[in-house]
Amino acid sequence: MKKIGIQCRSLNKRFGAINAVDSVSFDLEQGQTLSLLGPSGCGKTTLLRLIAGFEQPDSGTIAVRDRTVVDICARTGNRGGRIVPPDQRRIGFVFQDYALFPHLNVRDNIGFGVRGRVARRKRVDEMLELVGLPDQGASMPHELSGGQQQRVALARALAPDPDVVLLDEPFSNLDATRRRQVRKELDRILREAGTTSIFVTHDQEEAFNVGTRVAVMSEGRILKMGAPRDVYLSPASREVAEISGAVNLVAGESDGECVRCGLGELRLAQPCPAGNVQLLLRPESIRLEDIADERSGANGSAHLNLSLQASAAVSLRAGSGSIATSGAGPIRGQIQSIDFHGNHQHASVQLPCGERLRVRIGPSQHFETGQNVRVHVEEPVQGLPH
Amino acid sequence: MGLTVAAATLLPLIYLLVRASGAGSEGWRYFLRPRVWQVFWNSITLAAITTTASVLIGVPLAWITSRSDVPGRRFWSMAAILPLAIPSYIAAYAYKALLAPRGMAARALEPFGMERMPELSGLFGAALVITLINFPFVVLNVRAALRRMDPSLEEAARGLGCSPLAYFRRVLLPNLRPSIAAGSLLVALYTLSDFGTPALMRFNSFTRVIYTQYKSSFDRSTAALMALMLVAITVVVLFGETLTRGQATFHRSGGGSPRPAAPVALGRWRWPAFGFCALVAGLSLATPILVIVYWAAQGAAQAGGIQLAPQLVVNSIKTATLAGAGGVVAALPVAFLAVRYRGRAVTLVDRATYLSNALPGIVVALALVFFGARWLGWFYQTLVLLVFAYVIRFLPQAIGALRTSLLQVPPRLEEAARSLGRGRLAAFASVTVPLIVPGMAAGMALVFLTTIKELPLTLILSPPGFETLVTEVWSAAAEGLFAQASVPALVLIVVSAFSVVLILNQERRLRVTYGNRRRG
Repeated sequence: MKKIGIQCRSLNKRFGAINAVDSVSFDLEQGQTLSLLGPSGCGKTTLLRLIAGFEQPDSGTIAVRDRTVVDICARTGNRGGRIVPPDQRRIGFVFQDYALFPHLNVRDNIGFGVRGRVARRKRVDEMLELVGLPDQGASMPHELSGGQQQRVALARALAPDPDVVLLDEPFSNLDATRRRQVRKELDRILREAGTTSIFVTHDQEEAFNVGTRVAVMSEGRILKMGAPRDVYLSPASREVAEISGAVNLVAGESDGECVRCGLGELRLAQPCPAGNVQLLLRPESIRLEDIADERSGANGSAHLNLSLQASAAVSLRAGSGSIATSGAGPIRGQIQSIDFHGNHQHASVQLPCGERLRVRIGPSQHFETGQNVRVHVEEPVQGLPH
Repeated sequence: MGLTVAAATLLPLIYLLVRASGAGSEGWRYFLRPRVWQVFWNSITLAAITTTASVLIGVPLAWITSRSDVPGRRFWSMAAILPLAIPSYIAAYAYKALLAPRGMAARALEPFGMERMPELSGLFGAALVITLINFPFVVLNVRAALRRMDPSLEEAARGLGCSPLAYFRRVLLPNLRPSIAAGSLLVALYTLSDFGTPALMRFNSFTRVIYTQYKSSFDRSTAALMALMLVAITVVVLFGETLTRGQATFHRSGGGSPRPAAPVALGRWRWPAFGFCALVAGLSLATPILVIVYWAAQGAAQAGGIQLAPQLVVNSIKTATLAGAGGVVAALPVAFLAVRYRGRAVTLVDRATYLSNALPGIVVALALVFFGARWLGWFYQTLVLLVFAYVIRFLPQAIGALRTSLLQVPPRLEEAARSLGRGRLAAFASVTVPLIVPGMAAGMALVFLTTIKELPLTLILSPPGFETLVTEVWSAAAEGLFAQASVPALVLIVVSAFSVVLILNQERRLRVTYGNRRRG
């Protein structure tokens, strides 16, 4: 068993009638980065503030490393409970709007939490170097760009060498291109510092990209926590699937190993009890093929494109299975609409059985609305007992 | 703590109510006397005249100084605000000194055989002076509305076939109406509560009658009843003010900062507009100041020269400093609560302090006389009560200043300090305090400056024999000793100008703060 970075046990926090955090328990190993993914208002920021100590839970325990920082019994409440104030928790916090001290320059902001004049100077220099702002020490916060402010906030949180860093939607104030860059930077800095961290976001791509672990939250509960790939590929519930990305839900009937549905007979990733099931199909695990191409020759150029597309999809999802060309064979569908997004397009496909699928295809494939296509589904598929 | 402060500000008013209701049936019959209704009528008439006149002066002036190419526009736009800096009783004194029987104009015209000037007094005198120093309220409000308006509105209207006149009637005026209403209600409010001008002009408005009742009769209950009537009218006006303020936000559709509008070319109306600006500035600014300077020079030429007793200055500074410090200390908890915690009780506390500020100074003074004599016997007729009165009267200004700077310190900053190892108090001291020091200084300066020129409270609550710059101006002006009043009056005008600049600055900063928050 590796060392514990953060441990939460049955945390509860209510605001009036709302359960902001509802019996949340999880362990995070030291040095790992946890992405908390969930829609806004799902309680992820509250969870972060509970860990930081800005709010107190109604009940539950939180331990940082081996030290219990909050221990409140559900029955006795605050009495007899143990609460370490935020300033003694050794937790760094990066705020959504950074909360840099406007009356202090960059150096003084970063050095705010470091004790001792000599140590402070040395540490500030290190941190400025780490976040790539060695010449900005004398600047005032308002003179910096959003990305620079973000890095100063991170440096300030890391400077006292905390056991844990908590980041509350740290990229939400940056524009899209800046975001990707700063995200990489953050990833590097956190890895170099070797700090345990929790990071809150409502952006799926961000969550899977930054976290070594991902937790999906909804209505105050952690629905699923695991490695990013596991969470995305085996979401275990419809809600998790929907929060972690776009998903098609297709009804079918399971015989244990396979499912019969409007898309033919498909192999299940995990055995499912016989009976009604719901299939979770990601838009990129489905591919479309022009019917005219099929007729003119199996190896037409368009088809080649499609295979490339398909193999890209497979490699993206790293060996989750092969494409269903055998078995019941492809099903026909009709294109209802096409949305072009630049690096991909979304097609809405009507199946004969009445289901409608959302499909993500490459930008070069050209379909017309009303056109008939062949629909292939990547196997095996995820099924949920219904 | 905030509750204590709020209670302290409301107590005098509550006590006034109690006291007035103690007047009994005889007191209530008092309301039926024709004299009372005469006073009521006087006050309403005065307020109606000053408000109408202020709108007639203020709206064109606001437009000319913000949207036209009148020569010297920047200068006029300053000059259109500055009359606010002249305390009303000083303007009244200046106009009296100009037009009094043995005044400045009379002396100048003596060689031409005009020995007696028509004396400036009564309704006309009071209305003239109050209008001349209060029309800037209309200018400020209307100008702000004009600046908020998107210039593309005008282009859109013209593009849709509106003539300039139709644009004015169908687009501009409806857009300005809320700001005109807000400005005129402010004028009305100040007219009703102004004590100095009606008193010097010997016009029987509520404030003057309350004061003479208080001074001359032993039965102070009638003064209390009158004060209550005045409060009732004030509350009605206040209510109207908040109503219009609620509607006064016409939002620009679309984001971004407004494009500055190109000034309108006035053509042959350019010089008439210039003349209008010059006339208003001449009457409202130049005349009073020149008159006072003239009398100061007269006084200096006389044997013995001008004497400004240093004790007056010391007394003024002492009380104002105490009031400033006390105001900031009392304001801190209220402002902190109002900014950090939203809730009904907090809003109530906030409003309570504002209500007491909207009350006419004479009413607050009277209430404190009653309250002090009955409950604070030890402090009655001492500096303590005077300073207490200043503090509760000007508390809202201190709260406003503190609030502006507290708004710039989001609670997350303190949380950040906590997460970096500072305890609760250390976080407050190392982050919040340095950030609100400017606000505290501004609040203190504001209370200091407004206290130093405050008339009714000083007049009524000063300990016997305690004289300040204000009491000096007042007694000298009331007795027609114009030269004697001139030097302290000039000092007060300068002080007052500073306070106006401070208030305007603070309002601008508040707008900027809110703007940033909305963007963030």
